[in-house]
Parts: sequence; structure tokens; C-alpha cells
Amino acid sequence: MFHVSDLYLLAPEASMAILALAVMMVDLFVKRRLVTVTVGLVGLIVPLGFAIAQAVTPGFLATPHRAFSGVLVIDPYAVFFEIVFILIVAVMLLASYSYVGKYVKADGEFYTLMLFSATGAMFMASTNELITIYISLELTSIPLYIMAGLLRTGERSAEAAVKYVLLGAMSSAILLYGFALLYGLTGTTDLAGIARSVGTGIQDGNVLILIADVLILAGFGFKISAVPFHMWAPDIYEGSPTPATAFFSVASKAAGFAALIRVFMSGGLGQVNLTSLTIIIAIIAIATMTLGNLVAAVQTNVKRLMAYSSIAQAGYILVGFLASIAGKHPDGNSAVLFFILVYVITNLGAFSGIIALANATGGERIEDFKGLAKRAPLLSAGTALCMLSLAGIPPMAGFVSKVFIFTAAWGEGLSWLVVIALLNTAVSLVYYGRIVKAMYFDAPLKEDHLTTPIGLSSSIALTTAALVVITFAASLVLELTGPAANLLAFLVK
Amino acid sequence: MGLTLNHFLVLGALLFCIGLYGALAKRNAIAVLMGIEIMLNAVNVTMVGFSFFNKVKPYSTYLTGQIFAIFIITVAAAEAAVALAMIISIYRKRSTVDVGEINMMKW
Amino acid sequence: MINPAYLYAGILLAAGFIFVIVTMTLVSFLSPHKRTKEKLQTYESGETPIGSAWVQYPLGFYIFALLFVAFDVDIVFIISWAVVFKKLSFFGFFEILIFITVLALGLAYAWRKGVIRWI
Repeated sequence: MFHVSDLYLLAPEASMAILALAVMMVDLFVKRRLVTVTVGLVGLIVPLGFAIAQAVTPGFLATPHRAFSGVLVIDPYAVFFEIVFILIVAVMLLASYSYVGKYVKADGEFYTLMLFSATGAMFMASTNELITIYISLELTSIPLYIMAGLLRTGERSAEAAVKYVLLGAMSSAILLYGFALLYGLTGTTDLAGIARSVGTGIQDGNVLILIADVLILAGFGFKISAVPFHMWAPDIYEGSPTPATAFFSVASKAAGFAALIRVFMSGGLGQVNLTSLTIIIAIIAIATMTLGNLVAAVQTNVKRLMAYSSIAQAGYILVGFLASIAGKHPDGNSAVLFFILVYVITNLGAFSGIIALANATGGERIEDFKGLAKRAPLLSAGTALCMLSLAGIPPMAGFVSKVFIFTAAWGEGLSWLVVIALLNTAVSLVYYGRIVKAMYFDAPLKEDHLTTPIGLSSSIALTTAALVVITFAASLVLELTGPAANLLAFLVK
Repeated sequence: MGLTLNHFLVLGALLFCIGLYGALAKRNAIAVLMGIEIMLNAVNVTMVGFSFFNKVKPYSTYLTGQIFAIFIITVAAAEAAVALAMIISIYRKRSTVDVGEINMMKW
Repeated sequence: MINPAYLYAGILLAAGFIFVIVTMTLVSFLSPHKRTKEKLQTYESGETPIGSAWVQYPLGFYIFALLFVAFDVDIVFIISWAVVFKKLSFFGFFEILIFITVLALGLAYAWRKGVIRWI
């Protein structure tokens, strides 16, 4: 039954949705980009405030809260992702300001769609029921399809949008078929009920539930761009407006993983057919890492390179995901959450650099980065730091997060997978290194000073600062993400 | 000899395969979209079938499948609207909707 | 032994096919085959048609269709709400109010963008 106090649990998502509508109306009647973005940024304080209030209230998150007949569940895992998504939107609003004014057709719509998409992403992390997962998935994806096509000068942008919407729709149809089978097998769409039903009524070796698992993996595989469902990513990353690309690479991927982990862990799908599942996910993870890294090494367009890089990173996350399914082990899960957090921050920083360059020179190839350190020293420093972290160079946060994931996987007896992942990390040094080398060791294309708009420089400063803080306080962050994962493991039992 | 769950499931599976084939093999973007719609309707058939025949199982709330189908129908309409808008926009720029010719970007 | 219901349906189906085939064959034997200009015209319910039937409709109609679909599909939810209106009482009422408000904001957006203006 409904209680008024349930509204407090819903508050972050609800206020985010209201904010999206408000930004739409402000854009409609004021028509000034500065006003729209300011309303968006200031308004973000409300959902962020609610989410942080839920996070810091002592004892509030000790047990999961359920509302609206168990559809909404607020636990540390949900609150963690809510805060991540709100911060992503805040950074993106700052980073995209000048670029959107120059290159994007409908600026107000761009921000509105981003907010709607973030609302969907927040729901994806905090819902515990298949129907709502599907609807929030679509609420996340449909605005992204439109954002891909908003570039002013764009045949490429229109092409990216068509490809994205057709492949995205197909992937959600596949996902739905998996959901339908799961519903048929268990008789409920509630994940807790599914976990109970799978645990009691379904024998190991049941083929139908394996098919459902594979279909669900395939459907989410599109969203997280795992091989062999990655074909869309490079084209869409290249063709879309650069801020939209940045948003796809963090929000869509993090939301995909949030829902994937929730369905598999809370739905208890690891209880049956664990051997086959392990083999399937391991093959996907290996293919994703290897193909992403090898193809990224030969790219010349930076956005395309980042697309393959993000495919490779999805592979690493899948290794951690496998570790947490295989062992029902909280370590794997908290490692995954920490990795996603670090990935989000570094990717936002790296993309802020790419946006700044595209904004100042219109260039998106690696050659355009040549000698950037002399033309824009601070910008290059921030971008280089993020690139090195993505590569996993020792003192950086990216290194720490990889260590966590690999040790978790090693602990589950997946040592062969860890060896392959380490080899892949070595390959990835090549292409991240190429960008850093171009920035610091090559002769500049022009002898001038690039000016970086205030929004972009603040977004780079923020992400870099967050990166440095996390690097020094890695163990502290693991404490934060730890309970979230513990809780999920508890739910499965 | 009446309708059983198997009839629904076989029909759903067949429709899903037909739709998947259409979505992968057709060259016209509109036809691809139609294939995807067939896939979604296959899911609807499966959902409704399960929901109708699942009454006796534990934990069953037997209307859920039908409610799911309603939501799929509405979301599919939104998705189709966006997809058609995208196809129109590419038709204006390229005067073709052949997915084989929409290939400016390749690796 | 097959169910008689299937038998009846089969007979009906066969009869339908036979009827169509027989009448079409008869017509092709009996009817005169003179092609006049009026006969080759597009059928327009008795009016004289203007121009070719293969013209492109203005693309602007697409947006009308879109708006129609948005409101058309949402009837699904409003009807299912109306059926259980009494049971849900105020909770349901406020939920549907939120739902309609969001829809109305969408309509306001379309209005402000000049979509509803007559072309």
C-alpha cells in the first residue's frame, strides 16, 4: 500500500524528472542558453541533496527500503548510482556549454533530453522489477537516440542517429524476449520473487532459463557495448555531437551495468547453470577486451578511439561482474562499482579535453593533438592524467580499480581470465600513449594559445581533482562502495 | 484439442525469428523497423500466453504479463515515432533509406 | 478424430476461396474488355481526380501523426485507470493527474514550437 513517506524514497528520481520538465519549459519560454543551463545546474542541487541525505542519514541504508509494491528499492547500490548519474549530468552541463552553442541544432532540447535520460538511468539503478527496468531503460535510451542526431552540420550525425535507434530498438526487443521467458519460468516480474522461484523451482541444467540469460545478456550487451554487440558504438561515437558522445560513453554504459548487475544478482540468475554462464560471460569478456584494445590501436579519429577504448573497459568490468556472479562474493561487486566510478570520472575528464579541442579547432584526429601541451598546458595536463588513468599506469586511480577487479577475479579462480586481461592492459598502453605522446613530444601544429571556456576548464578541473582525490583515498572509496555490494549479495541468499 | 501454452510459445518464437530475420536482412530502413515491431509483438504474444496459462504457479500475479504487454505497446509506439523521425531526417539529407548506402563511417 | 469446429472453419475457408475464384473467372469471361479514358482514371468516389495519386504529402503531416499517436496510445493507460477508478481512489487520481500534466507539457511544447499551426 502507498504511504506518504514513500515519496521521500522516490524523491531523487522524482525531482530529477520535474527538473527535466522545468528545463524544457524554461527553454521554451526564455530561449537563452545561459538561463537554461543555470536552471539545470542549480536545480540539480535538489535531487543531489535528497540522494546525499539518504546516503548520510545514519542507519537509513542499513536495510533496503521498498516502496510502491516493491517496485522501487532504495539501498546503498541504488543511492550510489543515483549520485553518480547526477554528478555526470552536472559535469556534462558545464562541459557542453560552449560546444552546444556552436555546433548543436537545438540547444535547449539537448539539455532537456540529457536530464530525461539521466532520470531513466537513476530509475534503472533503483528498481527491482522487470517492467520498470524495461521502461526506465527506454527512458534512458530514447533521448540518447535523439541526442545523437542533433549536430548542426550533420549527415554523419543523422546517420549515427538512424543506426543507433534501429540497433537500440532491436536490442531492447531481444532483451524483452529474455524477460518474457524469465517471467514465464518464474511467474513473476519481481526480482526478489524471481530469485526465490529460481532457487526453489528450477533445476540446474534447465535450458530455457539459460536461453533467457543469454537473451538478457545480449540485450544489455548492446547498451554496454560488449562484443559481439558493439558494432554500433564506433559509428555512433564518431557521428554524434562530442558532448553527446561523452554522455553515451558514461551514462548509458553505467546504467546498462547497473541494471545488468541488478537483474543477475537480485534476480538470483547465478543460482542455476553457473558453469555455462561462466563460460559464456568469460568468452564475451575476453572478446570485448581483446577486440576493443586491438582495434583501438589503429584508429586515427579520437572519438572512434575512445569508442573502442570504452568497449575494452566494458570488458574489464565484465571480468569483475563474472567474479561477483561466480562467487556470489561482495568483493567482485564492490570492485565493479569502484571501477565504474573511476571509469566515469576519467572518461568525463578525457572527453572534456576532446570537447575543448573540438570546440577550439574543430579537430578530432590524433594529429590535431600534436603539441597541445604548448598551446594549452592546463587542458593537456588534465587530459593526459585521465588518459594515463584509463591506461592503468601505476599510481593512478585507474590502476587501483583494475587491481581490485583482477584480485577479485583471481580469488574466484579465474586466473586465466586475469592473465588475458593483463595482456590487454599492456596493449592499451599503446594507444593511450599515442595521444599523450602527440600532446607532449610532437611539434605543435600552430604557435598559438588556445583559450578554454570557463565551463570546460571547470569540468576538467573537477574531474582531475576527483581523480587525484580517489587515487589517494582509494581504500576509502572502496569502503563506500563496499556496503552496496554486500547488500546485493545478502539479497541473493 | 484447444489452445495451449505451447501454441502461444511456438507462435511467439516463430514471429520473433521472422522479425529478427527481417531486421537483419532487409535493406530498407522502414522494413527494418517493421521487423523490429514484429519482434516486439512476438514478445507480447509470449507475455500474454504466459500470463494466461500461468495462474496456478506459485508467486503468480497473473495479470502482470498483460500489463507488461500494454507497456511494451506504448513504448514501442514512442520508439517507432523517434525512429521514423530519424529516417525522415536521413532521407532529406541523403535521399535514400537503404541501410546499405548509409555507410559514411566505417572502421 | 478432428474437432468439428476445425472442420466447419475449413469448409468455410474453402467455400470462400472457391467463391472468389469462380466469380473472378466468370467475370473475366463475361465482361467486355474495352479500355476507355474514364475507365482508367483513379477512382475518387465519383469525383474527377486532380493530379496523380503518386504525389508526396507534405512532410509536416508526419508531426500531426506523431502527436496523434502520443495521445492515442496513452488512452490505454487512462482507460485501464478508469476501470478501477473507485478502487484506487485518490492515489490513482493523483497519479493520472501527474500523467496528464506531463502529456499536457508535451502538448505545450509542440504548440509553442508551432507544430499545431495550420499549414
